[in-house]
Amino acid sequence: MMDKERRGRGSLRLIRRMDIPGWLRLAVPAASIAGGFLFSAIFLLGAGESPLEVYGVMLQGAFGSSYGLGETVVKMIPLMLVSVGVSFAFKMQIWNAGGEGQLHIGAAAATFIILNLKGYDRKTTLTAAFLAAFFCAGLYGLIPAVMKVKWNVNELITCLMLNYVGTLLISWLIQGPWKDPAGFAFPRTAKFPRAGEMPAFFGTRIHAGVVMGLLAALLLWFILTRTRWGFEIQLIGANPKVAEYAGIPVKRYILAVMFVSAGIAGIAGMSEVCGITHRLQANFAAQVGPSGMTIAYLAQCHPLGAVLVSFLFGALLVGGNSIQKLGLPVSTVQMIQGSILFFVAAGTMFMNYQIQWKGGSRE
Amino acid sequence: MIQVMILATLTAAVAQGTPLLLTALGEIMTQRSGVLNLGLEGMMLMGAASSFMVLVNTNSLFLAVVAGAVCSGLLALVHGFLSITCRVHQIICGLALNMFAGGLSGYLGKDYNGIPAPKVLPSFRIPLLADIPYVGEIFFYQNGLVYLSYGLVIGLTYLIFHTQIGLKLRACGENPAAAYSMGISVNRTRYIYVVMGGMLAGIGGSFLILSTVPSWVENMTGGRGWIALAIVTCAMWKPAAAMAAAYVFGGVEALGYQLQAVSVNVSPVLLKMLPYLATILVLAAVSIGNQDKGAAGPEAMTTPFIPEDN
Repeated sequence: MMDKERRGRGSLRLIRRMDIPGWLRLAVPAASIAGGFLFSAIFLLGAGESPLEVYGVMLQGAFGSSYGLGETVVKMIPLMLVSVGVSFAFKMQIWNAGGEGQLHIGAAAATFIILNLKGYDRKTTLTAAFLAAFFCAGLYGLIPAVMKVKWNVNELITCLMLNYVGTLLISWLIQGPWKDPAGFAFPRTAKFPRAGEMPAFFGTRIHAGVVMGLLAALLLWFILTRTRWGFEIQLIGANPKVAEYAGIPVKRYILAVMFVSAGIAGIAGMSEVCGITHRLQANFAAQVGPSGMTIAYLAQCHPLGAVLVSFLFGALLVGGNSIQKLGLPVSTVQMIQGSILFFVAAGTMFMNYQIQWKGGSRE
Repeated sequence: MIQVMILATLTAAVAQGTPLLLTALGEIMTQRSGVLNLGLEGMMLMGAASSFMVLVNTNSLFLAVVAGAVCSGLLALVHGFLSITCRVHQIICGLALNMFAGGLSGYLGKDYNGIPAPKVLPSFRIPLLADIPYVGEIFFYQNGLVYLSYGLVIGLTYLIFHTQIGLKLRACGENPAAAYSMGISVNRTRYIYVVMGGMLAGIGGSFLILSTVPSWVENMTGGRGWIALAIVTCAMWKPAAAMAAAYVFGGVEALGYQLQAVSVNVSPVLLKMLPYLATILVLAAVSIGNQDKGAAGPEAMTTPFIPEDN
């Protein structure tokens, strides 16, 4: 045999599992998160930081006080909405990487409504903003979906390009046409009237977005597991060709799922501007898009799982802010998230395959 | 006046297009071998960051480029290990690579933020060729890495389409089972090209920081890795077509700067959108144009090869 892979040297063998034991579905993500932190620790050590100190400060920052805990929930809200949204598309193997752009479009749509719809009460204003954010972001998400369905254009690349377009559009709006005339040099819109602010709870910054996120997760979980739509979506995700043969309108599903997926990401934008910033401004949701994708994958595209993982990632963000006092940049968190995703990806190997060591020489 | 401007824009198109071209050439090799590496953006960022750190500390442009290539090659090796040996979902793995490398570059580069580069890649004239009117100015008064990219386009075109090595490479991406039965070690071949692809993305990142934007800022690649990925598809996995596409995108970017320079009454923020919009339009146009030619790209891309099953 010429081939190294076929030679009789001892080697690792991967044997596909027929079914995945339930404990493994939980153990692998948990171990992956731990692995990601350990892997990042190598780089922290390499740059002369003490990983224990860094992680300790993060833990303290995220959970050490009621303020920290509140902030963790606050950061969790956009992550939860975006990850629940994109996981709906991921479920169908549609790579909606455009959460960042959709979020910005949603935020812009909500801002437009609130700044122009004067003289209504809070309920009407916020409902209008909610609907505007959902529909505008949904339509924005339809761009890659239509291109995919009609011309088979890779949705991943179009989504990412639209992220840049969306964020640049917002910077243009807040520097140009929508700039607050009384805002000096700050690139931001005027402050929302009180009717456009979502109320906060328990004396923290936690706002109604948390309810929207939980409802979205429950609704999608219900659709996915309890309805025929969900069944067909799962079928398309498992094998689009078979689904097509079975007579499922795959293209129509792609359009519908992308619309809903993007719309929910748009709600994340609306809830940020109405709940936190009370105006449209620069960098109001940095890194939410990529984190949302990581969370969706980590949660195995399960909407309720995404809620749980979002809480953890919210803590990671709050912790990430607190390590700035050690002189570390926020991108450290991005590095940790990336390594967690690496380990989760590698962890799927343990879920899908049984690993055996075949030693010795065989023919 | 207009003539000078057009010449300047075209010269800039080549210069702006080269980092895209280098990265796209690497990804052409990677994808032709049957692996999709989405981590171009991250690898370019790590290439740029490591080049810059080495340049500031050693003042050697050569070592800077080498550092960029080595660091990104190592990252690609991680991607190779996960996608080839561990058979991990390549899209997820690529996204992880982007995030990790992007974060790592920001973390390692934290002490280098905003420092201007001590030197940049010098442009030099190629004797005789540079004297050709217009063409000489545009193509043969550039820096060394631009000339390297010309060599790579010619070399890779020859390698992929006219040699035994290229045939083996394509076989691994198109029909790995057949390649395997002919005694080609599919997975070893894939490893080699994945790492080489990563090294080229790293050099693309080096080019960016040693010439285009000579100062380190977090996320300074600004989506160029994704544009390079789009170029691979637009170019139908052909090096020469990638060159043309890269210059088109470089040209769009250069045009944005030129319009700003002559103070056209459009917000610079909107001009920054041009390359991204152009990418979407070109992708759509190419997809529409190739619709009846069936599925494009290497047949076995993103499918792990399992020797035991063959």
